[in-house]
Amino acid sequence: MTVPVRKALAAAGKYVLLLLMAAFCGFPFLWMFLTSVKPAPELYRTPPTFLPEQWVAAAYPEVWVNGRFVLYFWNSLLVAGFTTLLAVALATLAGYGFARFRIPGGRAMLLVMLFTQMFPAVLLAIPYYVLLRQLGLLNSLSGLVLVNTTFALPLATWTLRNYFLTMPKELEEAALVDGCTRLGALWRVILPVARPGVMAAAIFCFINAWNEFMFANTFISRAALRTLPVALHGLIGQYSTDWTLLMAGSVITTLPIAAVFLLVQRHLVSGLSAGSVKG
Amino acid sequence: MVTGRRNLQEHGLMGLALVLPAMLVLVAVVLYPLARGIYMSFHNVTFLNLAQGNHLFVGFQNYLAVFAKPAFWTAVKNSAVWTVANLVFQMALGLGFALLLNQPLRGRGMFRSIALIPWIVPSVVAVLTWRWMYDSGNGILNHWLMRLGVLDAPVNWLGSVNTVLWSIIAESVWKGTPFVMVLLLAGLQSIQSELYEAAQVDGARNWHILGLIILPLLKRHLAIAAILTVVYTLNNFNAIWLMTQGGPLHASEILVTYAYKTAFQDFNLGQASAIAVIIFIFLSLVATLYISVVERGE
Repeated sequence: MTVPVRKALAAAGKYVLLLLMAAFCGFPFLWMFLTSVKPAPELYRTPPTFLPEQWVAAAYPEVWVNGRFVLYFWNSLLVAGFTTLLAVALATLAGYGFARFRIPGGRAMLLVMLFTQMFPAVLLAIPYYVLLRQLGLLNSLSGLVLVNTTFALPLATWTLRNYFLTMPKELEEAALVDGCTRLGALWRVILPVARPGVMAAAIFCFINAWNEFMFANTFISRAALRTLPVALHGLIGQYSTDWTLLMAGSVITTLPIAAVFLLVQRHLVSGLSAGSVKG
Repeated sequence: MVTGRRNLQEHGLMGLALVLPAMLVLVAVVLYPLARGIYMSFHNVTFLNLAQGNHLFVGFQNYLAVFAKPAFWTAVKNSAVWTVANLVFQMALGLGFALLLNQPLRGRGMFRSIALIPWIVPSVVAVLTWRWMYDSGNGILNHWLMRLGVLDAPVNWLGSVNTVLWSIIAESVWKGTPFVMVLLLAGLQSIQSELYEAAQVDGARNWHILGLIILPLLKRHLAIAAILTVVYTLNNFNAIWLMTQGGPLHASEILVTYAYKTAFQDFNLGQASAIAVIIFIFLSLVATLYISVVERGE
């Protein structure tokens, strides 16, 4: 074979592989969406339709209003939002401390944080249940915020510490010479520049808390306090499941996460090895 | 600057003050509960006597009781299969995807975004979507396999002890592979392209370039991806719980679901803590490995 022909064949082969990869990665997502816009009879017919013959969006208002997803969405927003606020506020101070000061035992503390992220959640779920019960925080969203901080705080601290390390020390030295206090320099000089790092840390925390299922499923039994993942799980019936409704709820649950992802894809990828955000 | 010693002391104190709030929260929400968990694993704690507060010290009895249960050993075996299979498939596919997406091809950006979809989808959503695809009556998978002539009759993927674990492994490989891909792609992009070109000019085969140049340079990235995959897979409660809760007949039971069940369905918090501590010890070994890799890089 001549060289150009061989090159063309190789490129074609690569595109075939790329298409296979795209089909594997994309199909379940596509199927979730297609299911959510089909009328029920099309789902249960043999053979089922691939593209809907009739596009129906009725499942969305149904799950949002009658399925009370508007309430669960709000609960998820509260839990994820406050977890993020709490974790990022503490992590900004700590990340800055770890990056700029020689703290006695600092290395050990950082490693404990890294270690914490690898804990099996179930190991903590059992004592959490006992402690939340004692504190009267079972069936409360604040209890969930507290336990979600476990994984959010170390993640945010590591992300921010790594980000602060990349920033030149001259920045705040100039501010200190001008008579700023350390905290003043952090607030007025460092933070505005470190915004991409803070954003990335915040989004890591938000995504983790938004997706959290085990704690919410275990510590919340009142239906009105459910978060979205628990509510989705609740749509699985013992004998039959309304898959159109469940998939519409799934799209609603995915949208906010997909939106923030698109917004900050670059930062997320660069800050990855700092912590295990694998879920 | 001011004289050394005093400056250093001030630094130390200021730094300590900055990290203190975070460390206090960490002690309260992680270290103290962890200690409570280990304590419970040596005491007779159940939902019934939970309120009493004064629990009988039972030594290693919780551990021995757990070891005596066949279901525990099933969960150990399944955890091993589950972890190794996820590791092998996620690393192989992740490396393949990363190599493919590192090629200078048109439309690469779009394919890269598509490959990230499984990572972005919340895990509960991912599991429930796959559960729908696996549905024995109306699932798309059975329908397609029958149409292609692979199957004569629909298979109850999640209801049969022979297929259930591997069916969930497929979902979890789908969900976890993009993360491996992202880590390895970042590594590949840091390898200078002159290296490949020099090798190509020298007439090296593609396989040789991969084995002799790329993989050795990617060693650290591969190690981090592999360790995080093991940790995440062992801890992956959602995939199993939302598909089958470990059933049928413990066929998809792994240690974390078994510990959870022992705590919140059998209400034996002492024994559940014992299982959790066993998982913790194993994960500590893996985490130590991870920390040594991270330390070496800094």
